[in-house]
Amino acid sequence: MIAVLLVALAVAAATWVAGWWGVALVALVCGAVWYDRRAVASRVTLGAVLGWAALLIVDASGGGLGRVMGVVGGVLRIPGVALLLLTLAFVALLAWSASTVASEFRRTVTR
Amino acid sequence: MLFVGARRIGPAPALGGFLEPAHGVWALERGRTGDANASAQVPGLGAEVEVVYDDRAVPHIFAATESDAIRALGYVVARDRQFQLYAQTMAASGRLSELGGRAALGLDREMRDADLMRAADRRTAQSAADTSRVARLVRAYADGVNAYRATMPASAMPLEFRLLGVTPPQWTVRDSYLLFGRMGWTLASIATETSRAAAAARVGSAAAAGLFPDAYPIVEPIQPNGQTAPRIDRVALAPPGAPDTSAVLLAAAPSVFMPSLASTDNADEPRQFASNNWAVAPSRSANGHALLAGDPHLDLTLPSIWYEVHLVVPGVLDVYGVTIPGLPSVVIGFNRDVAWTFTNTGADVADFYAEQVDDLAHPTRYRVDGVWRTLDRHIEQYRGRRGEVLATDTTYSTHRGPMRRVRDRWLSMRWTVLEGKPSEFEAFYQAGTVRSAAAFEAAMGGNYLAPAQNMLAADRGGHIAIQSTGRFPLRQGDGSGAVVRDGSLSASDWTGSLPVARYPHSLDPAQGYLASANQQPIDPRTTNDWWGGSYDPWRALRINALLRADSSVTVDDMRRFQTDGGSSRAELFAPAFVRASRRVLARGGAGVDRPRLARAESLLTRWNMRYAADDEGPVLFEAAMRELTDRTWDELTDEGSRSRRTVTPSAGVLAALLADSTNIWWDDRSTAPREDRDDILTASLAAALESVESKYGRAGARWRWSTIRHANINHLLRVPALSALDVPVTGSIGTLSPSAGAGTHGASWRMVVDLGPKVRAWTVYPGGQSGDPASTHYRDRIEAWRRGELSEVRYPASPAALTGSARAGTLRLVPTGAR
Repeated sequence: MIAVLLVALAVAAATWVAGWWGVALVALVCGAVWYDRRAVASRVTLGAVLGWAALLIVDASGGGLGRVMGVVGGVLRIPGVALLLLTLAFVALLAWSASTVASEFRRTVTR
Repeated sequence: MLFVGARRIGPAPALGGFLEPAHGVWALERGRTGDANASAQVPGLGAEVEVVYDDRAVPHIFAATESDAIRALGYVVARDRQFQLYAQTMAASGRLSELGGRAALGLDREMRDADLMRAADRRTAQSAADTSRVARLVRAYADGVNAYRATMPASAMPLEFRLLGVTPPQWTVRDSYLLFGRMGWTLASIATETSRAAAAARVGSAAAAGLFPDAYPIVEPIQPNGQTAPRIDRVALAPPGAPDTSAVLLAAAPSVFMPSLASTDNADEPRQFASNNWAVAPSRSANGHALLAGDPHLDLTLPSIWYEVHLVVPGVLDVYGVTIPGLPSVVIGFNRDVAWTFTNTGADVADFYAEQVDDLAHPTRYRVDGVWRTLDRHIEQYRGRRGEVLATDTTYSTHRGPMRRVRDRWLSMRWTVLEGKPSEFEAFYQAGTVRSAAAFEAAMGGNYLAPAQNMLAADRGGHIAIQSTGRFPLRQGDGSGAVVRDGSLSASDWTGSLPVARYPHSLDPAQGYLASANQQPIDPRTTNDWWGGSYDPWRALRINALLRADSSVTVDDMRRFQTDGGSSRAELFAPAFVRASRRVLARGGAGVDRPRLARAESLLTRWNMRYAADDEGPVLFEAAMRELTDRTWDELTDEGSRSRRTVTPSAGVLAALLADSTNIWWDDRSTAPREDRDDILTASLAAALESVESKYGRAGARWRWSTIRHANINHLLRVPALSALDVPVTGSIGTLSPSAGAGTHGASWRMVVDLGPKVRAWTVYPGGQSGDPASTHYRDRIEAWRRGELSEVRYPASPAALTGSARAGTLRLVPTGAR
């Protein structure tokens, strides 16, 4: 659980500094470092989702996130909540794929 | 996933940057600047500027110098309308295809062919070496816009930029001149001469002259003529004759030079960029003050074309009103002494010249007075969304202006809009500081060139004044601009401009009020000069009738008049339908469906000739007018087609024709018997009822005007979710708050000013101050606009005067380096 929280923290910080590429970077590093741990991709994915969820909570502190969801969802012709799900799905897939690629690569190299 | 995150897929943005919560679209709420308290460093400021946002999100800019005030104006406009600045510039510079792809190529070509960019370049070049006040202020504005752009946090990047995947470019002085030129392009009118030519090409010159007369037959001019009622002059309508082939060239010119404007001119309900303004002298106002009202009718967009602002430089400037984002001044508004507003004059300020070129296919030179001159040639490249070249054109210009191939000739166009000067903005700066209505007219007359406007002003001393202001070209010979002139002769060129002293004007008329609604500026019986006025006069008739009938006008009356649902057009034509129906029914109604005609006559009789949302009568009347127009002007359509009319004479000519019941123009050429006026009126009414009932059923709730007529306020990118669509409105063609066709244009700004000891004003526009679609101020004024309500503006003399709930936030702009 601590590892997941650490990933969440790292993902949030990296996103803040480097944008969405930060997620890929953190996931690659975690996948490469923790390649021998069980379910590394799942943990990194969960951590990344939690990291972005935390940032979304920061965004929501102004109170107008519902309006943003409604407007952007309207433009994309999807419900606002689907935009939220799309965001979390994107970061989950990004983190999962990056950590899987990195851990598999490390595993291959280590063998 | 990296690929999906980094690359745009079709029109969808790259998901990575778009969705991430620190800087992406989710950060919009956190990054909202709006009216929140903030401070920023701005290069070039001489001293700190305090910008106080009031509860309507209007910035009140308090600065030590004019230059600082205009710099701050650029900053706050960019803060609220960054994407609008970008989109307008892309449109004006003919680069929309870079956003919209090939679909935008036609509009882009029209813009580039119009030569607006090179006109803006010329003004920029003139102003670069200019140390005058106006040149400094235009530069300060650009610096202000760029100061915001440079410091804008990533989280504040407007949604539209994120969707398009572009970033805001630097703002330049040229962009301001370009936008002003585009405004001129929007308001320029060449309709009368080219419509007449189109008619001549079909029914001959003699008939065309009657169908499109220089002088509109219904006379209620802007400059009062001493009459107490409108006058309908007789129209000498020659019968349709043989086509005049010499008119074909001029008739074809608009579709080459201004295709998008030309394509709407002949629609069933033509889009008209029009406006109203009127002022009441103290002798006719209830409170003994001069009152002024204005409402320009333009494209309705989100964000709105207008941005409300208050600029204060103690002892120098204290002006409140609206600016157009990109223009470095208040355009319409008031100061502590004077209020002003404009309507479009519609004068003939564009002429065509048939040029003699050396090579019809690939010209390089043109001849004037026997001497060959080199053509200016420009290669125009149009790019698509990914930077790929979509098309490459060569454009040509002579000393007169852009030259285009029209059929088998080359025509050049000279146009006052392309010949403006940087000093035009000076007129607006002076307007902010004048102390009387007369001084306002003098400032405008001395500086303002194009597009020509009817400029109305009222002052605290109780004076009201109006003047049709702009550059009106003088021509050789009969002075007419309604012909294609011989470009091979320099004698064909303009010989100067009409002097300001001859401009139509009025100061404190005996009637106690002034009103303009784009009608004739001056009674054609009193002048040989042509000043415009090809617009239908219905709004002018209505506002004059309302003002005549009310000798104690209140501010609330002024507000009500702006959305008055009455129609002079309906008052003229509806009784004509009814009278004709009764006559035809009385004589037996041979050849008509008597029960249907009787029902239609009864419905029309019961209608109060108003266009309120709950009214049911307008539906039948408007359908009858369409039928009447189609049936009367059938000679102007292609054989066997009612929908493909070459050109449509004004409803004023149709009104004048009502007095001549047996004129040959009433005849429906598709039938054997010769019809007269009553035959056509009744056939139109019966056919209208049939079509309305087939579409909406028997008269009832589905006939309500609110279900038929809407305003459609489109976002600049025409994204439905960011637009306000199907807004029910009061009004139709010719009502004071007009609504026609697709409902995409109308009253874009309404203002009423009470010039009492303390100036007070009430305003509204269909939009909101913020360009951020997720802001509460994005469209917060639309409902009030729809209901015809106005909000009293806050007009504080100092920042401290805005307190409590009236003060939403403060933005402090400090010189770079200062803390």
